[in-house]
Amino acid sequence: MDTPFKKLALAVTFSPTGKALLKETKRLKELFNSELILIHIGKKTKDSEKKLIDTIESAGLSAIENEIIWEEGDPANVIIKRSESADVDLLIAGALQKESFVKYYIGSVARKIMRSSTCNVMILKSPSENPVNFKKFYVSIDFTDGGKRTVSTAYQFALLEAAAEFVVVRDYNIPALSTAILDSGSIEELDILKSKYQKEEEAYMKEFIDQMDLKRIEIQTICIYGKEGWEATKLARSNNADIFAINVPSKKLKFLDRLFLHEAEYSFENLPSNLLIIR
Amino acid sequence: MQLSTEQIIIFLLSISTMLFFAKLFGELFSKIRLPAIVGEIIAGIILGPTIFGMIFPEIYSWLFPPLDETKIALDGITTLAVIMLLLVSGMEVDLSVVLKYRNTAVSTCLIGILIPFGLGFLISFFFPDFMGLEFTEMRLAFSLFIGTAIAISSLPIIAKILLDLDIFKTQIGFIIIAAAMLNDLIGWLIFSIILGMIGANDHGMSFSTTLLLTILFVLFMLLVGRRIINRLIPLVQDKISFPGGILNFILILGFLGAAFTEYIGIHSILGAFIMGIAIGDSAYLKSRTREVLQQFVTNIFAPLFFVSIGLRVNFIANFDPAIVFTLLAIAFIGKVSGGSIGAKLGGMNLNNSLAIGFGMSSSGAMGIILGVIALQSGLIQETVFVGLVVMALFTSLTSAPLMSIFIRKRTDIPSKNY
Repeated sequence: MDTPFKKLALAVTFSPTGKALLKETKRLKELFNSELILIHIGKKTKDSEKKLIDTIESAGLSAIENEIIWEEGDPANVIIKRSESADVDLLIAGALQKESFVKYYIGSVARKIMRSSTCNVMILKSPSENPVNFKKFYVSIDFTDGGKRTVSTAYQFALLEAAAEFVVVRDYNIPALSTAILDSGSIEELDILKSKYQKEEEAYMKEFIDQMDLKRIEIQTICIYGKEGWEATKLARSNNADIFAINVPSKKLKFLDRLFLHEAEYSFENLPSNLLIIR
Repeated sequence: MQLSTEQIIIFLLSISTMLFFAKLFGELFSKIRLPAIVGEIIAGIILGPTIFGMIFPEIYSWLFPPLDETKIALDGITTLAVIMLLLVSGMEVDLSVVLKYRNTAVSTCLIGILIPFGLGFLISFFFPDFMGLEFTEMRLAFSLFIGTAIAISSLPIIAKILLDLDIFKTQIGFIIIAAAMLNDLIGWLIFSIILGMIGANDHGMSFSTTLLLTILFVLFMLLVGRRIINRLIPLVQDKISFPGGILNFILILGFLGAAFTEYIGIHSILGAFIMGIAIGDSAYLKSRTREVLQQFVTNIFAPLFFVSIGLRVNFIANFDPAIVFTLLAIAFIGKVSGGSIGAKLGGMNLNNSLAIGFGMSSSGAMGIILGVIALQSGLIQETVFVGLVVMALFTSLTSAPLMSIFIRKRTDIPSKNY
């Protein structure tokens, strides 16, 4: 079976969730049959080295077989840079718990990785020391090549997990639609137009999925009219998805995107589940 | 001071008359696929001193008394109407859409503003007498105003055109909408600054204080206020009956914003508009809420305001062909060339760029609202006001057919990958 990711990297910390993250990563490494690089940010001393090795081994991973990178500096920058230079195709990191209003603007390590990494990223929302398979996959798409890449990567992942649910969601917005209609039309006209656009989106979606020829898991498709980025995130959250996959253009998200909410920011800001970001 | 029984009766009759004629003409115009707002304004011109008042001066001045408490009550209602109109307009401005299509939308919008603004400004600045300026000490503010009034575009009219051409849900449609939204925002900001310049406030604030407070207000609302409102909306929707609670909440915020900007010496409508943007951005806001509010404002309050425009001025007596023609010429040349060049620089092909240029050329309601406020604050005289209204009406009527020359059918445009 094809593996979607050949080389993983994990940002290892001594945080309370550090061990759980290592255990989750171990499971993924075995699932994908991939290489693993462990990146630790901090000063390398005898004590800290021993502590790190103990942590890694307590999770059942070998501290010898897996490459360990030690580096000092700004955690997010170093993690991003090292995973890029090592050609990692999935960078794994743990999420911080809900951040405060002020911290949002400053940005945390996980946020910075989500926004700025050029490789694929998986953010584990609440890693467990007894990891289990991911059963419910929700994939948010637009009808672009990036969207296609996201579906096919998530699909391979879901196959390996023997996932029970694979849902492809498209949320679309039509700015100023009610202005256009309601200046001289009625709410009924607006509803008629909305349902026309809905059918159009559903037809595009069918064509998009059919072209990809994915037959081994049943794919559910959903198109939702509403705020882009938000509706799909909301759906994944309310249906308790295990993985929510999104496509984010590989250019870095700028400060402006954060202020005025690029669609991906809705899931960055409040993770609906574990988040898989495909670049 | 309170209204007498007779005054209340007259007040109610005048509002009913205004609503009746607004709907009548609005519907007639919609039936022949023209913007309803054009019909509503024409209803006002017919009802006002231009036609009805000319033929039946006594009935006219009985129904719309020029100088008593009824007039003040009516002014109160139209002020409320325009504040609500701007609140709803603000709610339709989606900054994330602007951001998404920024590559083309920003250049379309900026060049689309710069060229007509520059033309309007230069002509008014160097030929102020010709353009009808009465007080030479207002020359700078006047010229800036003419530039802005010409440069502003009307989002609802543009949206309607795109819908009629069936290119609303396409990439080119979204770019035009994004550019029009940005145009609205920039236009209102410039206009507010002009109002600050002419010292429209009664609180003795200096221009620099007004300017500083305006910038702080806009930044605060768009960066921080927006997020606070976003947290409050789900609470209001969950705890208070729907849609009553949320409608109430939106109007309260809108009026508070309006009161604040009025206090700092710009105009109440900027506050309502910016508050609208902050509210409309919330992902929690249900689309039904927007629609109900929009229905309520566009069918009741907006028509009252648009009809009231015709009641203010005699359009025939104040019709100055030179001013009207100059304004129209600047609007067409400036806006079409500005919008087209901007779109072309943003990467559109020639046909689409020209379509965008014509699409952006209608100043519609926004241009008229600017005119009314400028007239009230003494910045312009009746002749210029009439010129602006005619320009807004004319461009609203012509932009759709002109645009359709360049875009015939939807299949010209990819609609899927936006």
